Amino acid sequence: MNNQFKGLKIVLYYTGYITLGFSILNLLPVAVALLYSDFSSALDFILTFSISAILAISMMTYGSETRTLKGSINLRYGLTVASLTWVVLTMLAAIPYMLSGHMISYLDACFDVMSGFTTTGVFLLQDLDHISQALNFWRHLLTFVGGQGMVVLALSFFVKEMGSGYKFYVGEGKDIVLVPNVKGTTQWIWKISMVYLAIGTLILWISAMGLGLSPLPAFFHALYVFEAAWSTGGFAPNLQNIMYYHDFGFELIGMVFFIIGSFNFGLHFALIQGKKKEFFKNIEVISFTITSLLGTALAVFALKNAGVYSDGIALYRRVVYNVLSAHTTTGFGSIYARQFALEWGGLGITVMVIAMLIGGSACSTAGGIKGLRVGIIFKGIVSDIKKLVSGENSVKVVKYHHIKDLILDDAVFRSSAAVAILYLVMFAGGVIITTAYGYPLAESAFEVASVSGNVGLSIGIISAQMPTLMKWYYMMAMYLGRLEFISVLALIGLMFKGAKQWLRRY
Amino acid sequence: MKRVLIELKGFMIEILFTLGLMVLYVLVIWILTL
Amino acid sequence: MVKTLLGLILSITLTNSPVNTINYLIEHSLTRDQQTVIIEGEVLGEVLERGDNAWINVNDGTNAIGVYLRLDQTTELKVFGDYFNIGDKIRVVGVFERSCIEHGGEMDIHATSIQIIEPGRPIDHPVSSWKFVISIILMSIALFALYLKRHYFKKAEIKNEVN
Repeated sequence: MNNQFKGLKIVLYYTGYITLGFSILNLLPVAVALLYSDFSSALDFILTFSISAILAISMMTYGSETRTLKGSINLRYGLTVASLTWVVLTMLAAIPYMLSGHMISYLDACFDVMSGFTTTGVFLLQDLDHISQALNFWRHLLTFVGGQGMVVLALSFFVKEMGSGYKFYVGEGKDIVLVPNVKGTTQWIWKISMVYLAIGTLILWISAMGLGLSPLPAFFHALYVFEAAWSTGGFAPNLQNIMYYHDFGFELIGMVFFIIGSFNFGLHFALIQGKKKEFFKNIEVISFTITSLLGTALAVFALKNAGVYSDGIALYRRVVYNVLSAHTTTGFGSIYARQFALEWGGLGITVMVIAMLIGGSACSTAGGIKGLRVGIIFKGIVSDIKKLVSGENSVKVVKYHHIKDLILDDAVFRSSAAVAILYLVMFAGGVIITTAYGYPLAESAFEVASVSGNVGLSIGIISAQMPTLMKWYYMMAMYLGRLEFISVLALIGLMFKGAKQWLRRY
Repeated sequence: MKRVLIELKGFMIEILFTLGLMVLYVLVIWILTL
Repeated sequence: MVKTLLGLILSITLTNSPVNTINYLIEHSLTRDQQTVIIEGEVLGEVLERGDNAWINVNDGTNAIGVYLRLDQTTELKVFGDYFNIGDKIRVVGVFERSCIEHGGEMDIHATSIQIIEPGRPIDHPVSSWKFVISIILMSIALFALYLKRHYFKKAEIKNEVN
């Protein structure tokens, strides 16, 4: 194979492959549109399907020599395929948004798609209460697929083509291996999600009808809310988000699914294999239990003392709910965005910012630094302090339990700390930019933490009218946060290398 | 068949654990509002 | 009966009072808490019945809020806002609650009276002819490309295996 464009061909071939799968996904909203005789929207998605398919096949044709390659591909290419795919699919999935007329610009459309794929949940879409069922179906579908992972979806179907599957898988921010092969692992991830999709949608459907919605609308609301909960996405079909329903039961059911959705897929898998002890030994479960209890306690304390809420149920529905929504990085909001700014005060907002940055579990649909890293960093520092204090020279091995018993050595500590630092640097950068535009510090921290951790709660800064630079930064932050930096850095690295080579030739 | 039962049990445990957590948050409120 | 009379009197006396936007109420929720306010907006979705009472969701262009009222007050509402329709535009006179105890701390309005000021109407979503034509053309190209791909990639695979 001609060496000069070899890398490009490999990357484009696999990116094209996944894009082809994505193009077919567009046919689902076509069906929804036809159900409502909404021909305008049906055409929007037929157009998007066509453009995506043509682009995909072009990419695969250009890189078709890749099929003759023996052996597996370089890890860097795998990572790049994951990160490039996300960019390509974002631009394609934005097409139906643009055609709907509800977006002020293409950038806004890409922003919303990225928010969907990364399961963040903030949006710039105008007039949400009047969009088509097909477009609403699309928004929530994107968050469901994005939560599992586009690469994961492709791997579960197409692995005959993608022998180096693991390298693409890792590029999307997961590394847990449920069964020894990647195709099996990704299929299990989908199986678990589909079972919960069935159970969850059914229960929410019954609840939705109970709260007053008629059967067909209730079904779609249930489906959307489940997809948004499980993927810890936070989109909802209406502007009022979860407040549209005015129902405690519906909120609670959603909460069950968004908490479970924030758990590691390895944990789900261990449980369905019968290893129930896993729940009590797992470092992420322990970490989440502690941090969520602390967070809710502090927030309840803060808001009760400020006189914002005094009734127990109100404290649960408006404080505990939102703290958990933030901590699991879901983003369902049971109060208006501006209420966070006007009512929550310094301590309340601080709790939220920290909860959003810690985030959910690794290898889940959740975002943030991740409980696993927080747990590892915490344990590592505690053991270091112990060593210093006791003054012993003996080498004591620190262990932690995550599906298996693992050793917390320097390498493990360092990689967790490195990613945590990258998140915090990205967070700091966002706060600097936002405050530079004149927004208050606490509000800036809230908003930037929300995009960095792929949460989706807003304090009111994100809007179609916000400065373009901020739109770009926030969109990048959602993307980097979701893919956990590494694969995006690989993409940038390959792009630079390619550019240098190309420049040298000419 | 037995495997399906084990799997179902797994789902049940997850749901029950989560409900347990949600009850703990109620306790948090209860303690703070005493 | 008394409630309706009171509601009528209130809406007459308050007709010269400013109509607030929902966003204004949210922003000034502390000062307007428990006060009688007027909002004007479109009803969305459908009426959510709760026994003798009901919720309607009202969107006034700035935001949307839940309005709690008696079920019999909703009988006049015919058109609800969604993709296909602009819902009935109503004037709601009611008590604004920053953190309604009855509803688990939700920010809502308990209506004393509602009044339709503009009936709803359908929204037109015409299928533009250029969109139709381009869709057909591109879809044909896409399907043809898909067919070519299957055909040629299969051939290449067979060739590969033979080698």
